[in-house]
Formats: sequence, C-alpha cells, structure tokens
Amino acid sequence: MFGKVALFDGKEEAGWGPFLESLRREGIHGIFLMVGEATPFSFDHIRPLFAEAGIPVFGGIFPGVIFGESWHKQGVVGCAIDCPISLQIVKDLGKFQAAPGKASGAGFAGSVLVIVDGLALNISPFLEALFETYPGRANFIGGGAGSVSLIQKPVLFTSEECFSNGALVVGIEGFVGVGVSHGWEAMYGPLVANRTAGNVIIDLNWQPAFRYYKQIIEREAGEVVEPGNFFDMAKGYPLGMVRMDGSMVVRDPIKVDGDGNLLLVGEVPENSVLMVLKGNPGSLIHAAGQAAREAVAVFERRGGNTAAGALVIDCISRVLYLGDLMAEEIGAIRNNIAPTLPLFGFFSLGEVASPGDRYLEFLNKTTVVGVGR
Amino acid sequence: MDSQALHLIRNLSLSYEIALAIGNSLDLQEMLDQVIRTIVRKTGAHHGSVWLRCGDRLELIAGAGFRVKESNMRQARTRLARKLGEILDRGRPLAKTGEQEDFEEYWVPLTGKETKIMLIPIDKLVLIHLVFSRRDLADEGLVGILAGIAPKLKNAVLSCLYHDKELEQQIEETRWFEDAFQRSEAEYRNLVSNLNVGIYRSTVAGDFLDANPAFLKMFGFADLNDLATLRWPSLYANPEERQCFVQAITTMGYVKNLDMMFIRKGGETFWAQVTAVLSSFKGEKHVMGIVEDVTERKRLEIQLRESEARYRLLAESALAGVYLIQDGLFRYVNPALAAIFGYRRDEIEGKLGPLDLTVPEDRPTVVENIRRRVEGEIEAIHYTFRGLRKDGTVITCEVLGKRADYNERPALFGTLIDVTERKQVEDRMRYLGTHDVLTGLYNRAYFEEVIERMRDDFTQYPVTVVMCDVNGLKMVNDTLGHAGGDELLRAAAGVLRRCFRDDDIIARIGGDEFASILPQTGEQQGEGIAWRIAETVEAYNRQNPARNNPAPVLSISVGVATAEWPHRLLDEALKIADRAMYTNKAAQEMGVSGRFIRSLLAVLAERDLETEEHTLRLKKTAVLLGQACGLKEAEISALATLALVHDIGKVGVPDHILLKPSALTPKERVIMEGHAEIGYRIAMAAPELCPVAEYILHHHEWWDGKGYPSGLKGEEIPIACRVLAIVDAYDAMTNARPYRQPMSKSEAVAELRRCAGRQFDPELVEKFIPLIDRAPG
Repeated sequence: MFGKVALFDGKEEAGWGPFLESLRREGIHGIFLMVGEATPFSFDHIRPLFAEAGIPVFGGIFPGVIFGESWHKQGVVGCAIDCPISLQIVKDLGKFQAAPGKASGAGFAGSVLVIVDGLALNISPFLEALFETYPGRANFIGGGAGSVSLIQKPVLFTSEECFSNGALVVGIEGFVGVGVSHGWEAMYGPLVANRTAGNVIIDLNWQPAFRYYKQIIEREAGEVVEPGNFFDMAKGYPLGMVRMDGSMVVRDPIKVDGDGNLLLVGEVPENSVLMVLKGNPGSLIHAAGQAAREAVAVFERRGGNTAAGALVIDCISRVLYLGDLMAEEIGAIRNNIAPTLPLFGFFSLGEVASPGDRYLEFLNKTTVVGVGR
Repeated sequence: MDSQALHLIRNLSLSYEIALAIGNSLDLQEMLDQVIRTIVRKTGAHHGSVWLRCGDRLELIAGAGFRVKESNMRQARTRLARKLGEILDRGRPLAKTGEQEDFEEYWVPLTGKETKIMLIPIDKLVLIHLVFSRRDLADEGLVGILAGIAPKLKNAVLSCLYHDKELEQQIEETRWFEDAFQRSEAEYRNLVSNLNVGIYRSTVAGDFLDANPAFLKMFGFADLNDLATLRWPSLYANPEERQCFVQAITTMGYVKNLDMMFIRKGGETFWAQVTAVLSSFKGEKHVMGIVEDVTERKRLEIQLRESEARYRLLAESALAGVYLIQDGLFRYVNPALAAIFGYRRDEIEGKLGPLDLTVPEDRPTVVENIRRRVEGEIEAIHYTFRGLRKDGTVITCEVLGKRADYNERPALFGTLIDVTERKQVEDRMRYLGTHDVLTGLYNRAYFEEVIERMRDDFTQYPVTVVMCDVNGLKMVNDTLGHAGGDELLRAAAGVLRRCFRDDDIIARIGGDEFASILPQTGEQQGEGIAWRIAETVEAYNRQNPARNNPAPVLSISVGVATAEWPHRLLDEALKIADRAMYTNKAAQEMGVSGRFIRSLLAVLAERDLETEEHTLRLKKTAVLLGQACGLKEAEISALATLALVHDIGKVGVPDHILLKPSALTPKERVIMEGHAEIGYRIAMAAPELCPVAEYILHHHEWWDGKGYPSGLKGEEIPIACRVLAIVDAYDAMTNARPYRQPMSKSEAVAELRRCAGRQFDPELVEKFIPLIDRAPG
C-alpha cells in the first residue's frame, strides 16, 4: 500500500518536478502529498506537474509534516500508493449523502483515507454519513488540513483543483492497522453542553459557555483564562465527550467569540455530557506510543507482517502543548514500530480514525497511527 | 477523578442524552435516528438499529453506525425480522455472544469482528438492536438504562405515530390541495393561453417578462424570445400615451380600461384597451395587465360618432320636429319641435311629456297610441292630434312615431309636423267636395254618396225623398244676370234649410234643382214637408216685394215620394219624386213669368223712363198704323204687346247710362244698344212674350240698314218694328223730355219725312202722317 515516501523541502518550485518524478514509478496508483503550511506552495504553478504525473495526485496543506523522527512547518512529504485507489472529492460536507458504491464495492476490505478541511462545518455529520454508507469492511484514518492560524483557506487539492470546506475520500485497496489514543484525563465534570450550534458551545451547564469554563479552569487548575490568552491556556484543558466504555472523545476549545461562546474543532451534539480534561506530557507521550502499539497489533492481527510504513496523524494542539517534548512523542511512536519502518505523517486540525469496530468520530488532541503494507 | 464517579457519570450521561434525544422531534424516523445514534455513539457499538412493530410485521425504522444505511445491508437485515419479532413478543432483553450457537441468527455479519449483540424490547412495540465488535465495552447498566427510559420512549414513539398519522392526513390533504392547485393552475394556464385577450407581465420600465399567446399574436410577435427584442415604449403609436400610462400606474397603482393606439411589430397600428395593475413579484415592482384589441370597436365608435353627428345635424336642422320620449318625458327634441310648440328646448327636455303638449280632449288618444307602441302591439304609428302651444293656441300636429330601445329600455321616437294650415285647407277641400259653394247645402256628389250609403241600410227606412226646382231661374239669369240668379238660389236654399230637420240631407243637385233625403220619415211626414215649403216660399215673397230692386219672385216646384223598405226602393222613390216635381213645375211656370214681366215693367216705370201713359199712347197709335197697313189681328195683337214691352231689356242697363242727360260715349252706347238683345232673351224666357221676342230684338233697325243690332234694312225689318219705329219717334218728338221741349206736329212730320227712307219706311211714314190727328195727343 505505502510505496516510496520522500521529503521535499519545497523551497524552490523547480524542485517539485524531480520530487514528483522520484515518487512516480511503475505500479504506482497515486501520490499523497502532505504540504507544511510554511511551504511556498502555489497550486496554480504546480498543477501542470500534477497533470503530467498521469496518476491521481492529491493531498492537503497542514500545520506541519512528519518525516522520520523530524517534523517541519515547511516541506512536503510525498507518499506513493502502490495499490488501487478510488478518489472521491466532496466539495460541500453539508450536502454529502453517500459514499460511492462503485469504486469500492461491497467486498471492499481496505482502508479509507479521509482528509477534511479542519475548519469546515458539518465534519461530524459528514463522517457519520460516510461511516453509515461506506460499503465493505473498511478502516478509516485521516485528519483535518488547515492552518494553525485558524484562518480558513483552500487546503485540499487534487490534480484539477485546490479547495476548502470539503474533503478527500480515498479508498485504498490495502489494509491499515489503526491505533488511536490521546492521553487526556477527566479533571472536572460532568457538564452539560445544553446549547450548541455545530462546533460552538453557547451554554455550558445553562450558563454562558466561556464564563463558566473560565470559572472551572480558574477554580480547579488555578489558571487565569482570558479571551486574549485563551488558546494558550485552553490547549491544556480540553473537553471530553463521555463514552460508555470509559473513553473520551476530545473536543479542543480554540477560540472565544465576541458573544462569549466557545469555538471547538469538531461538533458537539447538543445536550452532550462533557468532562473538562487535563493532561500532562507524560500521559500524552504515553498515549502516542499506545496508539502505535495498537496500530501494529491490529495490523498484525490481520496477518500483516511486512509493514511498509507508519502514517502518523498528530493533533497540532498536542504539538503546541508538548512544545519541545514533541520529539519524545515522535520517539514514543518510533519505539513502538519496527525501527526500519518509514514513519511519516502530518500535524492535523482534528483526527479521523476507526479500526472498524466502533463509531467513526472526528477526534481532537489525539494521536492516530496507521500501519500498512 | 475516581472510577466509581466516572462510571456513574457514564451511565447518567447515557441516560441523560438518550432522554433528551427522545421527544426531540415528532418525526418518528428523525427521533429514532437521534436516539439510536446517541446510543451507538455513547456505547461505542459497531452499529445499532431500532425496529418497530407495525401490525404483525416488524420494520426496521432507524439505524446508526457502520454501513447501516448501505442499501445491501438494509435488505440483509430485514431477514432478522421474524427472529427479532419473537424477542419483542417475549418482552425480555437478550444478549448473545459469538460463543453461542444461535448467535448468527440475530445479526448480519459485516466485518467478522462482531462479538456481541444486545436486543432490548420496549413494551412489545420497539426493539433496540445493538451490535458490538469490541469485547472490552462496559455494558453494565446499559440494559437498565434503556429499560428506565422505555416508557418515555414508548410514549414518544406513540406520539410520533399519532403525529405521523396526522401528518399523513395533512400530507394527504396537502397533496389533495396541491393536486387541486395544480389542476386549477393547469386550467388557469390553459385559460390564459387560450384567452383572446392579451395578458402580459413587464417591468415598470417596459421590459417584457411574460405574455400569453394572444398578446404575442396581437402585437405580431412569434414567441417570447421575439417579444424580448422590443420594449413597451416602442410599441406605443403616441409616446405621450406611454408617459401617461407610466405616470398613472406608478402614482395610482393601476390603470383601468385605457384606450391607446399601439404599433404591431410589422408596423401596423391598432387600438387596444389596457387594464393593468402594479404588483410586487419577488420583491420587484412589476406591471401585470390585460390588453384587448378594440380596433373594431373604435372603428365603430368613430363611425358612430360621425353617424351621430350626421344624424344630429339632420335632426337639428330638420324642418320637421324630431323627438325622443322615454319614461313619459321628452329626452330629446330638436329646435323645430320646440319652435312648433313655442318653447325653448331646455323647457321641454326632461321636463315635459307628450301630454303636456296635447289638448285635454286628445290626451286619451295620445296615451293609447303611446301604450300600444310601448307594449309592442305595434311598431309604428301615424296619426294627428291637436297640440297645445305654450301660448295656449291649438295646432294640428301630425306624428309619425316608432318604438325603439334607448339605453336598453323602451322609448319612442319620431317626427312631428304642424299641419294646422294643411288641415284647414283639407277641411275646406273636404267641404267643397261635399257642399255647394253658392248655397252652402250639400252638393250632388255628396247627395249621391248618401243615396248609395242609404240604399241598403234598412235601419234608415222609411226614407222620404223631396225633389225641388226653382222656377224661372233662367229668366232671372237672363234679365238680372247671374248675380240675380244666384241670389234667387240662395233664397231658395234658405227657405229649404228652414223647412227641413237638422238630420235631413239637403243638397243642390243641379242648376235650379234641390233634393232632400229624410231618413226614417214616412209618406205623411213627407207631404207635410211639401206644404211647409210652399208656405215658407209664400212668406218669403211677402217679405221681399219687388219694389226698389228687380228681385225675382221665388217659386219652388216640389215633388215628394217615400221609399218603404222593401216594397219601394230608394231609386224608385227618387224617380217618383222627380216626376211629381216636374208636374208641379209645369203648372206654376206660366204664372211665374207673367208676374215677373209685370214686375220688370214696374221696375222700369219706377226708373221713370217710360210712363205708363207713353206706353199706352204708343200702343194705340201703333195699332192705328197697323190697321192702316192692313195687318192681321194676331199681328195687331203682337204690335200692341211690342209697344208695351219693346224696351223691357233696359232693365239690364245701368242707371248712369240709361239716365245720362248728355251724349253717350261709344262704349256707353254699346251697352245701351244691348238692351235690344236683353229684351229678346227676356221675351224668349216668358211664354207670354215669346211671339214678340223677334220684334223686340229688331225694333231699333233702320230702313237704310244702319240700325242695330242686326243691320237689317228695308222690308227685312219686320213690319211691326217699322211701324213701332215711326210711332215711337213721333211720340218722343211731340212729348216733353227732361232735357228738351216737345216739338210741334208739323215739325215732327217734317222730321219724319226728312228721315223717311233713311231711318223709317217711307211708305209707312206717309201712311202715318194722315193718322196723326187721330193719334192720342
């Protein structure tokens, strides 16, 4: 499934041709490009090269890319895909009805790579519809593209176009073992998000969301949260939607709007019961390693013994939270996969993962690892 | 946070979120979708479904999780219905794991990783079906939580079902209304498409937005695309009309029945009537209007106006009166009619009715004539009535009237002329046609008409006929002229008028003949009439003696007969009466003439022209000379008569000539000499004088042929005349006259001898001279 994986610094447009050429070889069905947001990437300039490739070229612009044990804000990671793929472009997530039945038939048992605009609306309904209609026995893995500045831009591209507010759904005829973990723990709760609107919490426990959240953080953690320092402070105190299995689906508060509402990455259903979470670098790093282990385990359970690569999708807020400790998180992943296995991936605005045994959710502050042939 | 607290939170959150999902919608599908999605999401199930009992079937209503909405899998899961139905009927939750033999009867394998199923029935109505792929799921409390909310879920499902039914009913009603609306819309569209009037929608600025086929055809456009090539302003023949239209529609919001001239695409102009309204359409002001081609109507209006002007001119300038009556009042009268009745038009129109212009006696006739026309018994009528002018004078009007509809109600119109003068002439003519102008009695034509009418009318019988004849009329005409005769006839008519009853018909049927018809009068009454006539004539003659004028004696011969139906017919009676009258006339005629001649001689004597002594001297002398000449007795008698009446004709010579003392003018002389012929005619009319008529005519002839009236000479002159000439001359010379002294006998003889052979017969002169001494002196 994973063919050649390469890193291109992206500084010169002239380098794009050789870079793409290096990825394109016989038996390649497509090229997945992960572009660091600091890379001088002009789609209009590069597109002719995509067209010349003669195979589907697709990808996204992310806050950063991972290649080996290093990560970069500028640079392009390319992954050649050496098994058949089907590429579906979703322009408007709110209008998505069903996954294509043709490209991936009922007997489909591969993986689905889902790259969404991380700042788009209706990501959760899109994922629900995708999960409920996708034929066969698929694993899902992916994440949100976008800028850490939280300004929405065209961040998804194919050989034909570059766009925002949509998604790329890539069915890949190859199995990927998926591991998911975040490492955040309940600090305070339960709370009820009694009034929400998509990815906005308006009322929390029947009180204005920011004011109540601020009270909790100040009281429970002794931290002063203001609109001015909200992102820096809130990255350590995300919200978690409670699951019956004890897990939490994390929602990352990233902004306070002028009305005192909390803006999250990903939707929160109205009347959801939430917990205020807290983390520490150790638990997060540990969780990353756990995700890698789980991925390897799942892959191996399916009889896979010759993995060709490990795709890491790590939430940008974890990077911001961990800071310099990020190298330890990458190291934890590396330590739990084969030493020679190529490791690559991107920092994301939200994560997508389902090993096929549970409901597909748009995750935040989570590490997703996919190990495939 | 300790694990016990977290466990409680997990359970409470599940209960809470499901509880809030329940009842969140009245749409069953939506509500159960939310419930099962919440359950699946919260429990980490691989997928989950909700089944609902519908009658004897179990139906899959909602699902969430992996592939639940993939069509193949939905079909596959329906085979579970029977087995799941048993679980629902049993009413107890059921959990199966992969290790149990019948595990696969309760699920459809998807990934092969399914490890556990959970079936939770709710009150034999709803079955929640969850499939798990992970063994580490903490399912403790799940069944209890769902059981706890079961009543709420059941009620919510029932509410949704009830709502669904209501909704179905509403949908059915809505569909019915939609169908009705669509039918109505289709009919409306069909109607609009097939209407003959044009319908359009445009912007206020004049850009067309829509139009029906009739509009396109009216303006000469092939289709809507063709219409879009032009705008309203270019279709107006008169740009000012477009400005007026836009001003009206923008200020008032509508225009109604506006007639304007437009230009077809081909350039042809036509008239159209526009009704339009300003309306809002999707937030924009549009003009919607109806356009009707009224060219034909306009043409007719113009024709009508011209025609109206023409007819108004005709009516206004007509010499005859023209009127229009409706509801009993004149709605229109022309100047002539107003003038006929002496009013101004504004005094009549809308104020007076026909009866106001009619004399009271004729109003019933006018009312009846109006009624017959208004009620449609007759269409037209022609009659006369007596009109009443404003000044009170009465005129005769002739009306030619007709019935018509005016303003969709019955009306009368017609012409009226003043025929007063014509009526008077007609009356006069009618009078003259039936009356004798001279006497004022009926004339012969009318008399015969009455006879004709009465001949077969037995109600008038017995009818007595009286025939009358004025005796001596010819003689009166001859002596006194026709004026005298006419006077005699008027006198006779006056007498007869006094003798008959008012109802009797009296007519002058000939020159001197009168006749009378007396209806319902028997023979005895008729005889009485004859006597009455005789008495009245006598009375008249007594009252009008012939002294100072030559009034003739009135004498009327009368014959009477009676027709007794059916024994004696009217014609026979007429003949009998006629014969009786002539018999009576013969008896009276002689006496009449004798009396008349005496009357004439008396008149001459009164005029002192001829004294009775003179005539008697003349008679004696003439007889002497006649005897001397050897005339026979009859000739002597005639000579004696001639001596008495030879100048009787002088009654016809006016006094200023007859008594003129000086010489006569030639014209006067002619009149004077005419007395010989007048005397001749008088004598011819009187039986007693007939024998001397010839002598009277020639008694002024001279021996030498220079006398008058015939210029006879010598012995052509009757001897009686030659004798009378000598005798009359000698008597005249020897007797005094007002203008000269008498001559002596010798002088007279000398004069006779001097004139002998010239004026007188010389032989007779010589025979006379010896007799002079014997002649009366």
